[in-house]
Parts: sequence; structure tokens; C-alpha cells
Amino acid sequence: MTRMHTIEVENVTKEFGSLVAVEDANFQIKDGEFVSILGPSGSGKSTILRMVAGFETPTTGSIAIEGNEVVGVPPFERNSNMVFQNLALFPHLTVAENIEYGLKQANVDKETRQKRVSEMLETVRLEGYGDRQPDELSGGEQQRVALARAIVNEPAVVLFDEPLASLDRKLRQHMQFELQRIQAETGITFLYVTHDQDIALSISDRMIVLNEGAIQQIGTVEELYNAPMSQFVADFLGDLNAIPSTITDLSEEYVTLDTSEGTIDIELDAGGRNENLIHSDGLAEGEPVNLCLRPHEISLQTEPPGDGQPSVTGTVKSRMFRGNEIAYIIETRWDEFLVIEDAGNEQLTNGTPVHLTWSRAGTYLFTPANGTKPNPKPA
Amino acid sequence: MSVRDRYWLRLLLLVGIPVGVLLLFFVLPLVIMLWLSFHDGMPPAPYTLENYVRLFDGLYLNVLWRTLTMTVQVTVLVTIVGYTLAYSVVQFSRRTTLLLLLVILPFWTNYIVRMYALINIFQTGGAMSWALNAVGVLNEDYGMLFTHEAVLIGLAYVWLPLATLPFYASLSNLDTDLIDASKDLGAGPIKTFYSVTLPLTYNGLIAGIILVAIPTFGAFVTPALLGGTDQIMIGNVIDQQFNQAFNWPFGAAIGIFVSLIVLVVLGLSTKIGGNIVGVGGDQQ
Repeated sequence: MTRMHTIEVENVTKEFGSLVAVEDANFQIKDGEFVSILGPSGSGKSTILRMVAGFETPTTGSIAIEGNEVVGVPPFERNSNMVFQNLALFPHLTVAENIEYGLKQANVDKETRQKRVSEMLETVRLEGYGDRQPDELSGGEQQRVALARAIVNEPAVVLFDEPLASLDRKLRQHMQFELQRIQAETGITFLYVTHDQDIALSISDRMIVLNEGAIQQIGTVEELYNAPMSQFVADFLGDLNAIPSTITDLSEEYVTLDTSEGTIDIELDAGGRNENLIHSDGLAEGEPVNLCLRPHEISLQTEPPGDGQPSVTGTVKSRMFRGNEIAYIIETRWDEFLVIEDAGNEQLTNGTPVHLTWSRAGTYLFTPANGTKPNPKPA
Repeated sequence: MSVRDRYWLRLLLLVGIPVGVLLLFFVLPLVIMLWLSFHDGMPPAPYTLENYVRLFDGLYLNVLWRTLTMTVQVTVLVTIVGYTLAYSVVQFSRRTTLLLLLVILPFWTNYIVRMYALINIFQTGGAMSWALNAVGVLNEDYGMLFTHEAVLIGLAYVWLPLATLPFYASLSNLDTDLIDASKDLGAGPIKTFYSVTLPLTYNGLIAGIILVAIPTFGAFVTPALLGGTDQIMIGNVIDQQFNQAFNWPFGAAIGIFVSLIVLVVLGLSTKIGGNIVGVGGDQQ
């Protein structure tokens, strides 16, 4: 038997009236995988989750859980359980009764139910909390109860609708580790929806990046971070500074870009991401392209760089101390750029004119149509 | 010393007027009624327990029993219809305000006018008879005025909005994610209703039931107009004692007795009800 896919989503489109919430989504999730769906609010990520859970029906397309088509199957007959954004713990039941709820519906006998509930309380490290009411627990403890309630029936997949969003940073980080630990212990497939790239990057095996209802890219976290296929993905998974330019000259190894600050040559590695973009997308001379730079890949210097080293100019607008590094906002002719330097370097004062140079590895070329306007966020 | 520093003066200014009004218009009349109920005729007549003994006459016990049955029937009917109504307003409609307005609208019409409208509908050859003939269900004049059912429908109609509003309030406060969570965990719609919706709207349900049961138990205009002499309820007896027989002490005794029944039932139901559903008074 071939390795099963827990979830298969095929050509799924969901329309609400004239609004297309999800457009032709296709993806598979393997058994035991931890996958995040990442996208800004309104990108359709929760709609996908609710379609898998059975609360929404796709307009077209099919969804299979463990190989069985589930479109048209009500939520209470699906082998999936959900952790809701507001957790949705039953306020009139105790912690133990909340966890027991799913077992009761599955007609599990009382003895087994009690055994499973105490196992679950142990798994989520809430031993002795069984008799409490949910509103007597802290936010983090409530998260654990919601998780225990969702995994107690050992579903094929647990769906998470941004449950960690309401926690403070410390607790959220802690819960991320807990999620990973429990996922590893139980082996249940997790599908996690979030708008927070830090959560998605740190907890998942693979990510699905969504924008305006359309899947932008699917891949491992490393792939998406290091080889984003569009400016949207690159910008969403970390900050990005973009220099709008036009292709003036094109060869196998080089592309020459004309910016409003002169020309810049970019070396194209065979098979590298920039080469792929330029050649497989068939970009021609005269077409616009954005030269994008990660904040860490830019260096600032007061003197103009030596011969041949590409650079642009700007002025220091503001400076933020972040412990081991310093974040600068640099005013350029295009936009405000975010640049991050080691704290050990010489500190530049506001208003200093600077030259921005970058390493070759840190450049991305994107066609502007692929993404939204670059907007480095001074996080 | 300013007013702020004088505790008793502050307290008096704060609650003096409401307490005074309550004392004057609620506690004092109640005390007078209690005092009156132990008299053999209007004071200065001798004290007696005769009024309370007379209550246990078969005639009055009969009326009391009929009143209790009617109250239970009206309450059950209003609860079922009102809860369904509130549930559908919450679940299936975006025009909640308009629908709620329609529920309340009858309250803006004079009570007596509504009663006469019902008389028109129920009487022999009235609107109901006409409609049943028109659709071919019946082929003769029909009337149900002065029956138990007429009073039942009349009372249920009058108190329906009173119960629907608290039902609506508790149902619309119910987090729909809880319903989704229940279904997600494997409970079908009926199971979800009994294990999530009903227990979480329990307080609204009790409030609506109390709001209907108490005025029904004391009703006298509706049974008089729709039930005639055959369907009199305890409220009618009290009314007769005060306004026709001018036997105020006996009327007062019935009044006190009825209030006691209401208090005891109320106390018992909240205690038992709370235990059955498993939620104490501290919920919500």
C-alpha cells in the first residue's frame, strides 16, 4: 500500500455570492505531517479549514480525508476535530466533561472514557484539573483543554484555527513547543491556520502560503524562506526591500537592470532561483522587474563602494536598538528600506547619507505583477 | 461635614425614594391585605381564621385546580412556541430587528381590543368558523368561545411576546462556535441541542417561564371574556369577592394564599431545576 494522504484537496473553489474566497486550491497532506496554511486576514485560509471540517461546502472541487470523499458529509460524521480560535470550550461542563464529550458521542463505554480522559489530561499536563470549570483556568490551560478535547478521539487530522493568537509571546512560544511535542507523541496530522509567519515557520513541516484565495506556494519552511517564488511569499515570510527596475540587457549569465539610480548587473547562477525566474518565465528586455533584498543582506557604509560593487543611496531616518542587532529605517528614492546590522558595527546617526550594498546571495528578482507593493515593516 | 462623609445621609439619599415607594405601594398594601384576611367582615370586625378555612371548600379547590392546570398548559405551549420562534429568529434570519418588532407589536395594541378580536375569531359563525368553511374543512357554523381551549389560546397569545424576548436574548448570546464544536466532536443536531443549546439557554428559559406562569396564574380578564362563567380562574374569584360580593377579607385571603403558592412553586422549581440541569445560579 502506498503512503496515504490524510487530506487531499482537489480543485476546490468556494464562492460567497460574488466573492471568491478560495480559488482552485490543490494540496495534499501526508499522514503525520504538521502543515500550516499561512496568509493575511481575508486570504481564505479559515474557509479552507472550515471546508475540511465540514462547516462550509466547496462550490466546486473535492476534499478527501483518509482517501474518502467528504464533501456533503456533515461535520459530526467526519474524522477530523477542530481547535477553535476562541477555543469554544463548553462553559457548562467541567474540564473532564469537555474532553469526554467526543468519546460520549462515539458511544465509548464509561470505563474507557474515564481512562482516556485521564490519559489526555496527562498528555496536555493538566493532571488534577479535571473537575474544574473552563473559566477557572488560565488562557494557556484552556488551550490545552481544547487540544485534549480535539485529540481524544484520535481523529485523522486536527484542525487549528489560530488558537494561539490570543496568547502573549512567551506563552505562545511555550504552546508551540507543546504542540510539536504532542503531535510527535500522538502522530496525528495537524493542519494549522495562521496569519503569523513566526508561528508558521517555527512549528510546521510544510507551509501553504495563501493570498486572496489563491495558493501562492507550497513547500517546506526552508524552501519557502530561502526560495520564495513570488515577492508576496518572500515579503510575507520576512521583510523585503524592493528596487523597481527595468531589464535592459539579458544573457545566459547576466541580467542588467536599469534603476533610477543607474544600472545594476545581476549574476545568474545556472539553476538558481533568479535564473529560473528570468529564463523559465521568459522575461524579455524592456520588462519591469523588482530587485528585492532581505534586511540582513544589506550593509550600510558612508563611503561609496569600490569599483563594480552595486549600490544605491539613502539617508538614515531612524534607528532601533534590538540587543544584538540594530534595525535602521533608510529613506531611499523608492521607499523606506529596513536594514538590519550587527550591533557591533559603527552606529549611524539619523540624517547620515549612506550607501547600501549587498551580497550576491541576498538578491531576489521578482516580477512586480506577482506580488503586492513591497512594504518593509519596521517590526 | 459634607454629605460625602455622612454615611447614613448618603444611604438615605441613594435608596430612600425607591424604598419609600416600595414600602408605600407594595409592602403596606400587602400588610393591609394580610391583616384584612384575618377579619370576619370589614374592620372593626372580630378576628377569625374562617376565610382560610373556606378556601378548602370543594368549589374553590376546583377553581384553584383548574387555574393550576391552565397555568401549566399555557406555560408549556408558550415555551414550545416561543422558544421555537426565538430559535428561528436567531438561526435563520438576518432581519432580526424586524422580526422582533413583529413579536412585540401586539403589545402596542390595547389588551381589551385584542381580547375582543379573539372573541370575534372564536365565536360561533366568527372568523375561524368562516375560514374553516371557506377551505372546506367544515360545512356548518362553528364556535369555540367560552371553552377551556379558547382561554388557553387567548392566554398563550397574550403572553407569547413576554417569553419570546428572554428566550431570544439567551439564544442570541449563545456562541455559535459552541454549536460547531459539538458537531465537530460527533454530536448530531438533536444531540447538540440537548447537550449544548438547551443547558446554555437555561436561565433565559426559566426567566421566560416565570414571566408567563405568574401572570397566567393570576389572570382574570382573559378567562372572563373568553371563558365566560364555566372557565373561571382563581383571579376571577378574587375579582368577584372584591367587586361584586364586597367580601374583601375573603378576597384578601385568596390573594395571600395564591401568592404563597406562587412563592413555594418558584422556590422549588429553581432549586430542583438547577440540580437537574447541573448548572447552579452562578452560571452566566
